[in-house]
Amino acid sequence: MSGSSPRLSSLGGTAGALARYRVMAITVGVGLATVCFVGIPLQLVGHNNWPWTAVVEIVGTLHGFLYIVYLVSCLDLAARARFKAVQLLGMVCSGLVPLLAFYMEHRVTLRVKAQLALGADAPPGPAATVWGALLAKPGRRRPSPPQSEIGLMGTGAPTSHTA
Amino acid sequence: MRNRWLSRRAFVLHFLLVTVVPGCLVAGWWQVNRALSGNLLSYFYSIEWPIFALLGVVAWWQLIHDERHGTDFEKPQKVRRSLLHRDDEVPPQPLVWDKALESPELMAYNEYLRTLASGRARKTWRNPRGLPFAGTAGAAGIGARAAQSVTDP
Repeated sequence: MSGSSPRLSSLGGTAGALARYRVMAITVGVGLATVCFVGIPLQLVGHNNWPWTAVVEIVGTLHGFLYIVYLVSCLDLAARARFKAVQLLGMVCSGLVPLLAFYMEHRVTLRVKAQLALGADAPPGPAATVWGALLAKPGRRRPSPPQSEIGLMGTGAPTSHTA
Repeated sequence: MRNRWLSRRAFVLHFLLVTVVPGCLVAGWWQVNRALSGNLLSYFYSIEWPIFALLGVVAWWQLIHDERHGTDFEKPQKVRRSLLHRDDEVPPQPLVWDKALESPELMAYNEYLRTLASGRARKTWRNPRGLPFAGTAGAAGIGARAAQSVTDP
């Protein structure tokens, strides 16, 4: 699992990244739902005048800030759990489409937990994180994982690939 | 490192990079102009959009350096051996009959079939001699034997 690379175990490993992602996903999901389903109707009712736009301006700005934090947590988790680009795109979109965040959080959690449950059969650690590359010593290269370490991700069972 | 930078997957990522990042920067510039024309909220957005562009570069770098090299963790690689059979199909097992697994009813029924095939019926209280039924394969045998028993004496 995360033992193959020392970079991986930092900050609680994949499980820690999952916990941070979940907190941020729920926060961003609640924030966006509040803006879309409370703030914007109030703004429309009040014809864009001050007391009516309070929710949009306060929660919206806060959501803008937290969305950056959310994106960073997504990138961290995606690198550690080796998500595909499409899956990362889904996580990014769930901060923009209301209520999608809750669904994505559920799916991602199931997936990463299944992957963690594989233990030694899980795919090897993240190929690269930006902070890992910045912190790594120049001479030390991470060896490429042997093919036998590759397992099925998310289905809970390792497979042997017949060539 | 041809695989890393020049594979089809890498080209998709390059395309996303050259569309998303300038898009974020253009949006950021637009927000700068709005902020300078008096929109207070746009000061914040004009900081946020460049950060999105930066995160796009980070994501691109990470996905490029993910050393999967064509190995898809999602699906096992399938090798088609036959056009008629899927590879995940279980090959048919040879038929092995275990007599010990037969139920008493099945054993009795098989016994009944065996007696029918042998040309004789089961001995019951209605048929104490086990004579074959009319219309079965043994019916000709009855006639022959009856003819014999008639002609014998």
